[in-house]
Amino acid sequence: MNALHTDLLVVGAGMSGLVAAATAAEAGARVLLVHAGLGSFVYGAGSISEAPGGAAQTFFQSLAEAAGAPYHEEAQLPTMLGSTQPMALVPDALWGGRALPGSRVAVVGVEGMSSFDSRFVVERLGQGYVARDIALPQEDGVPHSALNIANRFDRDSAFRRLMAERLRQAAADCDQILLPACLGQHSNHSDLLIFAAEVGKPIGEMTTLPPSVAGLRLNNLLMAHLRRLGVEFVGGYPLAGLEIENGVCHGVSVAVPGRARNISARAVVLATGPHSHDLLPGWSGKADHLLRPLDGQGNVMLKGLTLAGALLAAGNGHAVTSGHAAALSALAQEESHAA
Amino acid sequence: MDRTQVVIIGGGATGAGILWDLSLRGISAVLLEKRDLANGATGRCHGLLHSGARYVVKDAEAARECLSESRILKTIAPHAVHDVGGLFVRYPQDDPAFFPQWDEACAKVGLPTEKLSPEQALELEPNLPKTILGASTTPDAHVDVFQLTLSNLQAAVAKGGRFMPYCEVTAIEQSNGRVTAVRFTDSRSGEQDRIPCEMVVNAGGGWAQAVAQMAGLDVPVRCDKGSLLVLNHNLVSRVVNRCRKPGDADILVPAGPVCILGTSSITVSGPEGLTADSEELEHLLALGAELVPLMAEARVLRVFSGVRPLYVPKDAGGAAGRDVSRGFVLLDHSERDGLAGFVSIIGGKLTTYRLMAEVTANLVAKKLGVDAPCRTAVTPLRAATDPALAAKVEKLLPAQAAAIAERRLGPDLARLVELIEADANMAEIICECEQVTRAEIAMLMSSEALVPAKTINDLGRRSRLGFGSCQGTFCGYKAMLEGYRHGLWSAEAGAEEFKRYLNERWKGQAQVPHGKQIEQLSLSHDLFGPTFHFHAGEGV
Repeated sequence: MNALHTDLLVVGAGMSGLVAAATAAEAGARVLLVHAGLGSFVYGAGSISEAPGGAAQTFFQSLAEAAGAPYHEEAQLPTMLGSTQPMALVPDALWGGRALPGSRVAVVGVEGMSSFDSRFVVERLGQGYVARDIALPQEDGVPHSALNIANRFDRDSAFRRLMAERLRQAAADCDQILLPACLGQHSNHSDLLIFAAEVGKPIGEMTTLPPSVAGLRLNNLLMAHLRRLGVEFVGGYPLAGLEIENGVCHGVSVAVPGRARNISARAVVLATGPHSHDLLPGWSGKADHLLRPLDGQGNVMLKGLTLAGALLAAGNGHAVTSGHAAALSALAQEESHAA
Repeated sequence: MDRTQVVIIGGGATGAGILWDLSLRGISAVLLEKRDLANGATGRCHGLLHSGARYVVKDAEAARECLSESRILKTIAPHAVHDVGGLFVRYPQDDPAFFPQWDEACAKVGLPTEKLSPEQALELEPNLPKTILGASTTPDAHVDVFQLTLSNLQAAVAKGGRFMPYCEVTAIEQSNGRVTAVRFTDSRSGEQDRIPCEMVVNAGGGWAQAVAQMAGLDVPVRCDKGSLLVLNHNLVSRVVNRCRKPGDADILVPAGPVCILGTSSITVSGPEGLTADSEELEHLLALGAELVPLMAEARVLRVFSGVRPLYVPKDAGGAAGRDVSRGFVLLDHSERDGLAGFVSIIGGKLTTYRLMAEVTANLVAKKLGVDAPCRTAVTPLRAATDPALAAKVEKLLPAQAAAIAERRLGPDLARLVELIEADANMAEIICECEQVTRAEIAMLMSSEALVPAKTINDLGRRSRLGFGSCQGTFCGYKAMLEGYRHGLWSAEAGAEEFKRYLNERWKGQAQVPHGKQIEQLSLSHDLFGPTFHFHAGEGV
């Protein structure tokens, strides 16, 4: 990690950070992404309640498609609380569980799993839904959780076959299957299609308590795609601070144990989430139209730095819009510096 | 409802202690509590089992009571007491004239202390500031207030006493100058009922004035609010007291995986709707950082406020807050007001709850003509745990969970073992912070429980579920589902119950001034907020 240098440095691996990195990489820039952990994908499945619209949405949908995790528009999604939530953009795995008129849906739980109850969900969802449970063998006496089922789904084809068989039996009299998100951390769109074909029914996942398997899977697919685009990742270490000289951000320092390592860049996108105001002393919490941070007087306080994601406002829709725009803005500024 | 000899009003430590005391004497009694056990001052304090050291200078009698009562509790309820010991620390910014006064007063009361040099004190508690002048050891301890109250209730119910939570008293009936019955409403079902009785004991704490009013009597109670902070670190391993005249935020109590700093002292109009404003919290935290400097970097989990119910007769003058006696009074309203069969027990401290129950039960027994002595000082609240049973649990659960279950459940471990042996899924840890297993939740929600839980929060008071850093975000949902599976509520009512529960947990965290816990709170909001339309934001 000595003397790392890049064109665009993105900090943060949540939705906005990944979109920013992909935007810059597709524009031909050399991109390095620094992240402390997994970002917001541990907590949520990546559904978007308000459509980003415009070029950002077009970009994002083709990015997700290429990563093997396509999104669909407009759906009412059932939740683990037995309510439904309207969503503007939905990952494919969840979209399979959207409410369809006249469809008889089997809500399928796993016997013994503490964090999901099919009867509870069905009782609240009402007509058109029936509760079923499947029995799966425990591994080493470990209680079932969505995450450990997902891990076995990923590595054990016999387990996958057994699961498909049990699901087929449980939902024999139904048109559609809803189950807690657990179909692997690495399965892409076609893996899930193959599994659904084996079961013989369309399958939709429901979001669960964290860690969200659907979110982790989306994260894994997007990261793998970004690597293919040439993005480099430096993961596991929190940011120590920004490297600033004469009002220009030249990079960051990363808190590697025992020392701080510098990474220099022509421009930086900060996408570190809602609780990182400490990185920008004197920041007003606002950004200008180019997503540069503004001080209390409304002046751009730093050059070479743009902001994205929940640092500015909540929501995955905003994460997509601002991630895309922050990368384009950073690249444009960098060019104007160079000129 | 069937007739009983005594109706007790108020399910704090004192009311629970009275139910146990009367049950042990063979007197039939019903305890009515409008919420759940330890909802008032009992559940909203430090959980400090006072050795008396804090009171020696000002009130030697209160100190003696604390000393003897704390010794009794350590023998009758060792499962609820963490006998960690205490330090009275001499800080350079405090009045040096107080130090020798305190030493002498301890000696006079017979309170065993040992003087430590600054180096010795720092060796025991390295997080104390390096500038301290010295310290003295004291036999202070931490007591799990919920476990203590629960154990009193369980012991009483096993002897025939009855605990009725969520039953709010609506009227105290009287005829010819004596009480005859108590009317109440079950706030969960909405049903009204009436218990004919010979005597009524008012153990309402902060609500004692309102209870007395229902009997047409005036019992002046002043509510003195104290706010406390729960910190997600064991900054100290002993109870740390500032050696000075008692003041704000000068006690830090290690309580299991957290520690508790408090308190403030502010007169308020009543015991309901308490909040702490940011100024009050910053004040407490600033003082706390004097106590232990590392506190400035600590994570505040939640904030809570309670009231000290202080008995202030009209002739007491203008005394307020800490200047009002922390002793207790027993009012015999037949002598005081000409209403036979009605008594009030007011004031006091958690540490002396058993003594308060004893003197109350003595008076009640005398009035009822029952000749049975008090036995609560010599009767363990819970039978000892069979070591063979404990060994079995150690095979079924991870070491930490086994140790905690053993302490929390005692002889009830037998049921835990049954449940896990019948279904291995029951061994799952549902609340990671407090190591609560699915089996324990099932036991507490079962209608066979001596003091069953009826809400998710009730589970918390019985098992500490949701008391750790996630504040119920993850385990609360699982606990709600467990309640659904046990038929405690329908899906619709369960969703409502979960919403109520989250809302309350969020309220406690929203007062937290800064730091990591706010991140935890916003995570919780993001997970469940949109589902319940609590706030606009991203979906799960």
